[in-house]
Amino acid sequence: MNVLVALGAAVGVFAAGMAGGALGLGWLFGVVIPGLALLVFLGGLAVKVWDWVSTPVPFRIPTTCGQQTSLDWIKPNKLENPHTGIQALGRMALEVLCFRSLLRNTKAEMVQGRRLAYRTSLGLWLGAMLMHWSLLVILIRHLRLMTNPVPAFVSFLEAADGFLEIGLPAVFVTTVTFLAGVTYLLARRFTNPQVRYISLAGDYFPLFLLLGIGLSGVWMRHFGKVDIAAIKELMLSLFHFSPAVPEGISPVFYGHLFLASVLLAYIPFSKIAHMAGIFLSPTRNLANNNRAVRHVNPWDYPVKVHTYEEYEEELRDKMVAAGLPVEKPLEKE
Amino acid sequence: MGDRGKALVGLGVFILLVTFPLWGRLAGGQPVPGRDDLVYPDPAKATDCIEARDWMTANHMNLLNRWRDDLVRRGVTEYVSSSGKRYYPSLTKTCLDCHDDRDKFCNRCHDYAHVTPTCWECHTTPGGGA
Repeated sequence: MNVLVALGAAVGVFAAGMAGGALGLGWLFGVVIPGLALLVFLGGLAVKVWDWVSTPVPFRIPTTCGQQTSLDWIKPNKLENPHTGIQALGRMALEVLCFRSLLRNTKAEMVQGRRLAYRTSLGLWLGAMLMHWSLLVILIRHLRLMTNPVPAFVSFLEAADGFLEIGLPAVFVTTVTFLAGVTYLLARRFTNPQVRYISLAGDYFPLFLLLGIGLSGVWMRHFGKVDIAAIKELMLSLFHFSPAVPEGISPVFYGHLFLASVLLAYIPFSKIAHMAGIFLSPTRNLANNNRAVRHVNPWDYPVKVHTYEEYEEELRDKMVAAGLPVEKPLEKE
Repeated sequence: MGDRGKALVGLGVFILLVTFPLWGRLAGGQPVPGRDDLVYPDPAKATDCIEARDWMTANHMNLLNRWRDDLVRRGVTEYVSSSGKRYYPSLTKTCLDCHDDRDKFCNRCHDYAHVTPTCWECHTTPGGGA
């Protein structure tokens, strides 16, 4: 049911974009909606981040799985149990760039039908790496349609990505790896009963959106032959704040663009906000120095305390009379 | 949390990166080349291309690829167009007769759409353009 809702929504989005393009609503689907989507994306993400940074974090709560820094002769695990900001940064960088925590993914299996065994399962890590890195390269490659002249790093990336020179226009490596990654991540939710049980429509929807964007993009590049010059004209006119919608752009492009717009606007309100949230996770971005450094709870108010010294000062004669030990003896009179 | 400044700097950098195409414009990027001044080959040489103009616009690269495979790898020396006319499948000996200026007929669109064809790695450049 969750799958069908998500699939229906994604197909509906694509169909709406196609219909908009076919009906000549180029202004709505090519100018107004993408612009609004970009504003919602950036504004929504900014609000989220502001909300997160405004939330007090009273304790250091990093998740750790290594030896903490303590005595000199005990070797600390700097990555798994960061003690300084730099070490926390190192762990964070590896997490963001290499998805290190996914390497811990395990799979529970019944061996010979009677014994439960856990083993490492790297499929999720590989699928996530393929999908995320390919998506980044693909996004940067798209700059060729949004900049004129095209910056050198985009040309370089495009040349490197198409180095196999298979077909014309050349098939990009990231096209294949992206679709493979997304397909694996979807298939994993379908075939693994445990994952399927906890998958919601909100888990499937972004995957279907990404798959739809990828497939429509492949169709436009390799099969449908859309008018690339007209599309670049539209994109450049948007970024020069003088929108003009050229004739003759294929409806598939509007379907592709509408899918991307919906995904963009959907990001701040969904699980994909992890793109900002990962940086602001207190369990990840804090150094584990709870006992080495004094951390003051930000919402502590000044508490009136009665120290032991004051207590003894007040009751010393009674304590001495009762035979209790005191820090400071009674003064002889 | 205490690191509000760092988070906001990160957010700012992210927004700058996402809006990258806008900054290209400030750096003197060119907007839209007119399509009205597209040049077509001299009508004295020929009035129509090998296939229909729209089809050629979209598919010329596939046609050239097929020609290369036909001529160089399979030894086929004839291409029959959909109108029944026969052509020698060669970029230099057929296409470049009319499209005789690389800047006018090739680079104009390829540069704009940022396409880098590999034709000129072997073939001579018509019109001397680079």
